[in-house]
Amino acid sequence: MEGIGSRHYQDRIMAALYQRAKTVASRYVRTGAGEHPLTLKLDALLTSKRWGYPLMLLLLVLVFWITLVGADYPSGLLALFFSWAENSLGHLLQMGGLPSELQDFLISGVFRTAAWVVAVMLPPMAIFFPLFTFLEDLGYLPRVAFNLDNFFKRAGAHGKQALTMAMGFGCNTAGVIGCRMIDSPWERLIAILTNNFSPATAAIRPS
Amino acid sequence: MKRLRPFPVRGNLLVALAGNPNGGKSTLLRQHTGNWPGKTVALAWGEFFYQGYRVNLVDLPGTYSLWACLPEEEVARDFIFSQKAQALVIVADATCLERSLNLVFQIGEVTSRSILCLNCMDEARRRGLIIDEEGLSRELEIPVVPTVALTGEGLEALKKAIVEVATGRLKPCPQKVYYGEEVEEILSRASSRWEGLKALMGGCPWRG
Ligand SMILES: Nc1nc2c(ncn2[C@@H]2O[C@H](COP(=O)(O)OP(=O)(O)OP(=O)(O)O)[C@@H](O)[C@H]2O)c(=O)[nH]1
Ligand SMILES: [Mg+2]
Repeated sequence: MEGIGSRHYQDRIMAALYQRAKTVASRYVRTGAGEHPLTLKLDALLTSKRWGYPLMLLLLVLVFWITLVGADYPSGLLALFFSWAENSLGHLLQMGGLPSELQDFLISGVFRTAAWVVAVMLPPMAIFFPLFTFLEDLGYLPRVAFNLDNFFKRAGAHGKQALTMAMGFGCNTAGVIGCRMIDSPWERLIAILTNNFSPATAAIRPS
Repeated sequence: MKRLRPFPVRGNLLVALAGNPNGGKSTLLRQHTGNWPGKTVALAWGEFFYQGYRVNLVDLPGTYSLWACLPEEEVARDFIFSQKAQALVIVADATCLERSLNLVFQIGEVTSRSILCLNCMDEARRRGLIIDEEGLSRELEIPVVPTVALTGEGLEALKKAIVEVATGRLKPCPQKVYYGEEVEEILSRASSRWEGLKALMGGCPWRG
């Protein structure tokens, strides 16, 4: 005899609930002769065994390609602008007659670092995240999670991790913060710790 | 000029919106009042006036089951268990009704003052789903109201049903699920069916 609160009764109760829900739903919901919308067909295609993975790879490669290649141009422009600004600022400070140590500190230290970070990081993020948002709005991201769920499960992780990893490609901070959507503390920890295995586009760009 | 707030001549009612995540609870609440969508993780409030009543609406975080263990689902569960609300609106996505029914049955064990709101009817119609609302209502023995939260369709009917149930003018008696001889036997021996179920399911059954 199994004790109260045991798995056995829980399974019985849940099974009865699901069975009942199924019966009632099938009795009162009919699929009439509605249009078969394009979205449903697309959904079937994007999550199909055969085309799901190739299409997913293709799309993700496309996103990365656009990000990596596309970011070079604005990055170059920004770098150009900042080096011009650096020069002008240097002249300005020289005219102001600041001690050269302070000038060095401000120009080669503070300004240059900030400028570099912006020039390198901003363009890929400004391209990747809108693209990612676009995929999200299309409803494609949940399909990616669905496709990858199996892989992650076999690795002992949560299917939703597919999304936080993908976010990590844009920016690991965003990826790690996104991990809060994973419910179980253990799987969330795994997701957070392994997020760095998806390098942010800003970091892998050849500069 | 500032419009005067209606005066709740006939009293206040407390009503909660429960349901699966992403069913449109927050969208419904925004139609009534002015709330924001997005994943709800804590209680959110709103109110509307109807027939002299002020109805305070609580937007609960979405939950698939009362026996769940996520923090935000616990918020919803605790509120439902507390029986504070005079009525409970179960907001279901009409395009996947089956998933919501599970919750409907579970809530039926806790409280009889519930209303099933079939939301996203526009999407259901677009997909060619035909839902027999009256039959469903007769089977579940709770009011069933189809709505489209995005446009506000069916909102008047929902408000009416809410007030009728919350004031006790309409008394739903949700039918209970039969769990099989073995379980029913235990439940009949418990101090109440509900306490028995709670004991059987434990706090957090799916996490060992
Ligand atoms: N087509 C359609 N979409 C709807 C309807 N109602 C809500 N939605 C959409 O469904 C999504 C989820 O709505 P929410 O109101 O945030 O859902 P919720 O039940 O509060 O979700 P949680 O807070 O996570 O439990 C939003 O994108 C809404 O725009 C509707 O009647 N028809
Ligand atoms: Mg919500």
